[in-house]
Amino acid sequence: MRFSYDTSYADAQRLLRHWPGRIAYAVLAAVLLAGPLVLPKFFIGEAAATFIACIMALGLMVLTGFTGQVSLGHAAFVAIGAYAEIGLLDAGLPFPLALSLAGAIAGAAGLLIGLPAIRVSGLYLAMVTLAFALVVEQAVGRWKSVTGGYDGAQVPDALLFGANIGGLVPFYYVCLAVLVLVLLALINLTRGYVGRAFVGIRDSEAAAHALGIWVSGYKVLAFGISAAITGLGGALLAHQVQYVTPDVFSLNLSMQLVLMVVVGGLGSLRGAVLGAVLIGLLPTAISRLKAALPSVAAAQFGLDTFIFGLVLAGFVLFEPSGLNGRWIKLRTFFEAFPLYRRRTFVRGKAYASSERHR
Amino acid sequence: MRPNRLTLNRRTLIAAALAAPAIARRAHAAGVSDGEILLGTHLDLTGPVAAGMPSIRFGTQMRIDEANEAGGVNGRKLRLIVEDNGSQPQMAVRATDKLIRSDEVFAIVNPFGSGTNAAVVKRAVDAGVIYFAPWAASAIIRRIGGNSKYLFTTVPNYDTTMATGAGWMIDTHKPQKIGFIMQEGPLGDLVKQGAMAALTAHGMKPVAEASYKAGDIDFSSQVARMQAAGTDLIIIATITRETIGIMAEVKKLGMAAKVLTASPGRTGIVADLGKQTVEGLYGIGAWNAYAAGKEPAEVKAWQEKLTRRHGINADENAILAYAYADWLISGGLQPVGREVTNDRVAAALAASASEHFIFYGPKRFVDGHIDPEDVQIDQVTGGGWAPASPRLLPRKG
Repeated sequence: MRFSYDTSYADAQRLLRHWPGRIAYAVLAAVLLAGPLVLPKFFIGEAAATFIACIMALGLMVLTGFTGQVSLGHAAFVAIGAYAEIGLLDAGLPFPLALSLAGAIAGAAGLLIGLPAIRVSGLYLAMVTLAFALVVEQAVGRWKSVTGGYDGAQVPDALLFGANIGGLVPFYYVCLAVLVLVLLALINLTRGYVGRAFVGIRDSEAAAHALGIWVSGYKVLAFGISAAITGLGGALLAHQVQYVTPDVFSLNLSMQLVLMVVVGGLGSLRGAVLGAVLIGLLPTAISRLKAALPSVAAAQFGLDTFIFGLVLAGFVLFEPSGLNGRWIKLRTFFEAFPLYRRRTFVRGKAYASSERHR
Repeated sequence: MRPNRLTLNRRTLIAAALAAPAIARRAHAAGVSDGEILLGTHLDLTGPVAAGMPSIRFGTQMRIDEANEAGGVNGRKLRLIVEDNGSQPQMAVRATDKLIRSDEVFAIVNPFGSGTNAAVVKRAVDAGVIYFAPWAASAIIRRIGGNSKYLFTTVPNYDTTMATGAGWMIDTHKPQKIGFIMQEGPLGDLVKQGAMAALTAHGMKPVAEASYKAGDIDFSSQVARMQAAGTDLIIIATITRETIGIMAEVKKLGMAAKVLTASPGRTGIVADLGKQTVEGLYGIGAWNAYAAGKEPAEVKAWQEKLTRRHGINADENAILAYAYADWLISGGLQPVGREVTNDRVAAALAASASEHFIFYGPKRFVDGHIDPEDVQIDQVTGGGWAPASPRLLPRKG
C-alpha cells in the first residue's frame, strides 16, 4: 500500500505524484512520439484515427461522465466542427486558427442547444439531443451552399507554415498534440472548482443547489465545453476522412461515442481514452482476426456485430465501472500484492441510496 | 522535413539500401508478387444494407475462383480481401487504408455504397490503385476521383438513363400531369435532374413533387399529394422497399396513374417481393432482368452454379458483380501478360469491351465510364419484368 504524505499544497496539486506513474507516462510518451518512426504506414493512420476518437469521447465524457447528462446526439457537434473547419479553411484562414475556431463554433452551438436541453433530464434529455442530431443531419444534407449537400465536400489541405500537415506522419503528431492539450485542459478542469461543480450536479442536483452551485449555469457550461471538444475532434475527423458527406455524422457515430464512454467507465478521463481505443480498434481487430479464421467462419455474415455485442454485454454484466474500473482494480492488486482483498471495491449500500435524491 | 533526413550516417544508408528494392518493387505494382495478385473490396457487411452484400461478394468471388481453377491469370493466382464499410464513410476510409497500406492490393473491385465510395475513391486512385466498378452514383464518384485514369465506373448514370426513359414514356403514353416522388440524397437529386431534362424537352413541368428519407416506410402523404394533383405519371427515385411501398399506396387509393421507377428500383427482388402490388409498374432497365422460371439456359446454369458453390440465391446483383469482376480479369489483367502494372492494366481496360450476357449489348469504356448507356423500359407483368419498349439509346445533348 502507498500513502501520500503531502507537506504543501503544491504536493497535492501535482499531476503525477508518484515515481511509478511518472515512469509509466514517460515510457508512454516516448512510445507515442517514436511510434511513427517504426510503425508501418497503416498503423500510423489507425493511431491518428484513434486519437481523434479519443478527443471526441473526452468531449462526451465531460457531459455524460462528469455532469451526468446523456447525449445521443453528439455526432451533430462532430458535424458542426467538421463543416466549420472546411468553411474556415476555404475562407483562407490558417489551419491552427481554423481548428480553434471550429471548436469554438461547435462550442457555441453546444451552449445554444444546452439552454433548452437543461430543462429536461434523463430519457427526455436523450430524446432532445437525438432530435437535435436529426435536425443537424437534415440541415447538413440540404444546406448545399455551405456543406455541399449529400454529394459531399472536399476537405482542403491543412497547411502549417506553408507545409502540408495532412500527410500521414505530420497528421499523427497534430492529432497527438491536440489530444494531449485537450487531456491536460480537462484534467485541470475536473480537478478545479468547475469540475467539482459538475460532479456535484451529477451526484445530486438538490445537494449541489443547496451548496450554492448555480446548477443550470454549470449544466449549460458542460454542454458548451463538451461540444467544443467534440467539435475539435470533428475538425480533425474531416482531415482524416478528406471527403465529407452527411452520412459520416449518422446516428451510428453518436452511438459509438456513447459506447466509448460507457465501456471506458463513466466519470473518468482515462476511461474515455481506453474506451475510444477499444471501440475504435475493435473493427480492425475483428478484420485481422477474420484472416486467421477458416473461410466458412470468416465469410459468416454478422460476425462483427456479434463480437461487438459480446464485448459490450460482457462489460455491462461483469464490469459496470468499465475499463477504467478494471484498470484501477488491476493496479491496486499489484500495488497491494500479496495483501489484496477481493472486497476492496464493494461499495457500501448506504452511499448508493443518497444518489436517488435528485 | 523528417529529422532522419538531416543526418546521413551508416545506419541511414543501410536502411535506405534495404528499403530501395522494396520501393522499386512497389512502384512497379503493389499487390503483385510472383505467384499472386491481390484484389480488395469494401462492402457493407454489418450496416443497413448488409443483407444484399452476399450477392456482390460471392458473385465477385466466383469469378476469381474460376480464374484460379483455370490456373490463375498468366500464372498468378488471384486473392480477394473483403473489408467492412458498414455504410459509414469513416469506416470505409479505414477499410480502404488497410487495403492500400497494409494489404497493398493491386485493385479494388465492386466496392459498395455512395457515401463510402465518395469518401475513399480519391485516396485509392492517388495511391495508384485501380478502382473498378464502384456501386455508387458514377458521375459523383468520377468528379471526386478527379477523373483518374485508374477509375472505371460501370453504373449507368441515373440522370441520363432517366432522361432517356422518361422521354420515351412521355412520347409513348402522352401523360398530361407528371409528379415526382424522390429519395432525399444523391439518388433523388440525379433522377430528378434526368426527369426534369425529359420534361423540359417536351415543354412540361412537374405538377407535384414530394420527397422521402431513406428508411421511410410510409408513403401515404406523398402518394396523396400525387392524387390531389391528378397526376397520370409518377416518376419515383426508389430502391426496393420504397418502390413496393409507393405501389401499394397507389393501388390502395385506386389511382390509374402509371408509375416509373429509376434503374435502382427495377430489380428482380422488387417483382418477387411485391407480387400483385407491383403489377403494372414501369422501370428503367440498364441491364437484363430475368423473371424467375423464365431465365435463358445460360443464365440458369450460372445461377445454379452460384447456389451450389456459395449457397445463396443468385439475383441480378450477383450476376452484375460477376460480370464486372470478369471485365477486370479478362479485359484488364489477362491481356497485359506477366508484366502487371497499374498503368498497363488501366490502358488495357480503356481499350477493352465486355459482352457478358447481363448487358444489353457489348459495353466498353469511354473516359473510364461504361458506354453506351442504352436502356429499356420494362414492366412488371405476370410477376416478373418484361420488356415494354425497344432498346433506347441516350439522347445526347
